[in-house]
Amino acid sequence: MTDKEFLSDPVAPEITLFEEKPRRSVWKRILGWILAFFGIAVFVFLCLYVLFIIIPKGPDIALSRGIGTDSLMNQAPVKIDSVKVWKEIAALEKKIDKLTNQGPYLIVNTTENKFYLYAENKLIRTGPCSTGKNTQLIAGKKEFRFKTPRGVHKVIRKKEHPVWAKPDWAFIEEGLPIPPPGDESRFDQYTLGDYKLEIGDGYMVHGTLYKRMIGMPVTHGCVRMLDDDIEAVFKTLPIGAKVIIY
Amino acid sequence: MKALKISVLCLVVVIIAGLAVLLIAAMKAPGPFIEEFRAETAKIGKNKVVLSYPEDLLLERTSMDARLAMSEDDSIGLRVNLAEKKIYLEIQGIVLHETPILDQKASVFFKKLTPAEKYILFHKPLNINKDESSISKDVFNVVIAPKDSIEAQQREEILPDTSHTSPVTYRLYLDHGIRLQVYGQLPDSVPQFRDRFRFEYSDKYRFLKNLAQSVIKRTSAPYQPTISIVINSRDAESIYRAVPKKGKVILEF
Repeated sequence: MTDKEFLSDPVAPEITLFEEKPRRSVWKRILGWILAFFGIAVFVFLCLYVLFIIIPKGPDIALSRGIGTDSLMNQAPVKIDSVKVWKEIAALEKKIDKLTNQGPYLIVNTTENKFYLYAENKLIRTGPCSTGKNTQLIAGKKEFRFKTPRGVHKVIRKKEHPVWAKPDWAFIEEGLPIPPPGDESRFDQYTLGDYKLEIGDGYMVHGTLYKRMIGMPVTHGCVRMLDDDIEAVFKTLPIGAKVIIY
Repeated sequence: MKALKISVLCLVVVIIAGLAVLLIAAMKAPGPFIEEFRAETAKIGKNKVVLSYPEDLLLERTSMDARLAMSEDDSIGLRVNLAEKKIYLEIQGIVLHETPILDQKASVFFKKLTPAEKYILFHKPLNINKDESSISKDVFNVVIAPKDSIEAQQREEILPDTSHTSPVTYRLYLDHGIRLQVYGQLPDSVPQFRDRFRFEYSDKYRFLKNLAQSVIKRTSAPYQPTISIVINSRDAESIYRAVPKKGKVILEF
C-alpha cells in the first residue's frame, strides 16, 4: 500500500500519540494562579509576623505564663522592729534633703541653649543663652575646639565691666595676624557686656554685644546671656556657687 | 506537577518547624537568665532586715539608697521613675532636667519581681556598659581658618539650624543584662515612623540571628529584659548628650 492509498483508505486506524486531557477554561486557570499567589502571600506574611512579632515576644510569653517566675528569692520571715525601720527611712530622707538643700546655683542646658537660675531650691529665673558652637578651627598645625564644657563648675571670680583679653583664635578666625602678648589690640572692653563670672579654664558666663544670636550655639565655649539675665545671675551667685552645664 | 506539590508541602513543613523551634528557644530564654539571677541574689540577700521591710517602705528604701549612691558620683546620672512616669537628670542630688514619660513598656520580667528582688537589683545605680544611638554624643564641624581678613569677610555668616526634625532613638545597655530604650517623640507632622521601624527591626533581626545561632550551637538563647520609654525628642537629645558614655542609671518602679 502506497502512502496515497493509505491516506485515502477509509478503514485505516487513527493514530494519536498523546491522550488529550479536557482543557480548563482560561478564566479558571487565571483564578487558580491568583489563588496560589494569594496563598503564598498570606503564608509569607504569617511567617514574617511569627518571626518578627511573636518570636521576639517569646520570653515575655513564657514569663507571663509563669515559666520560671516563681518567687526568685526564698525569704525567711524576720521579725522587724518597726521603730527602727522608720528611723532608718527618716535618716535617709534627711540625707537626701541635705543634698538638695544647696545655695544658689546656675544650670545651663547646651542642647536647648537655656539657663535656669536657682536660689533656695526655687527657680528664680530662666531664659535663653548661647553656648559653644561645637566647631574645630584648624589653622596650620594649630587646632582650637569651641565647646562648652559639661559638668559641675564653680564661680571662681566675678567682675563688672570686664575687659576681654583676646586669645590667638580670635585673630585667626578673622584672618588677622596674631599680635604679641600684651599688645593693645588684644584688649576689648565691650564684647563681654557688663558682667562676667569666671568658671575656670578660661571659660566664663558673660553678657554680649551680639544679642541677635542669643539662644543659638554660636560661642567659643563661654555662656553668653542677655543684659538683664547676666545681671541677675551676677547678683545671685556668690563666688564658689555651682554652675552646672549639661 | 505532583513532585512540585510534594516539594512545596515539604518546604512549608520545614518553615513551620523552623519557626516552632525558634519560638520554643525564645520561650526558654528567660530560664538560664533567672537561674543566674537567683545565684546572684543568693549572694547579696544577706541583709534580711531590709528585705523584710513592708513592701511600700522597701520600694522607698530602694529608691533612696540608689539616689544617695548616685549623688556621691561627680558625673550626671539618669533616674527613670516608671511609677511617676518621669525621667530625671541628676548630679550630686540636684535635679537638672525633668521630663514626663509619654509612653512606657517593660518586659514581663520586671512585673514579676517582688519588692525584695527589686531592692537587690536596683538599690544601687546601674552602670551603662554600652549604648547605641541614632545621634552622636558630640558633633564637631571642622572649619579651616581664613588666609586673610578679606577671605574672612567673604565667608557668609552661617547661623546654626536649631529646628529639630531628626528622630532621636537610643538604647542603653545596663548591668544585669537590662536594656533601656528611649524614643524621642517628634511632632506628628514630622515623619518618624521609618527611622523608628529601622531602629526596632535591626534589633529584632539581631535577636533572631543570636537565637538561631544558639539553637544551632545548642546553647541558651539570649534574653535581655527591656524597658522602652517615649519622651519628647528635644529632651531625649539633651539627656543622651548629658549622660556620660559610662554613666549611671537608676530605675524606680
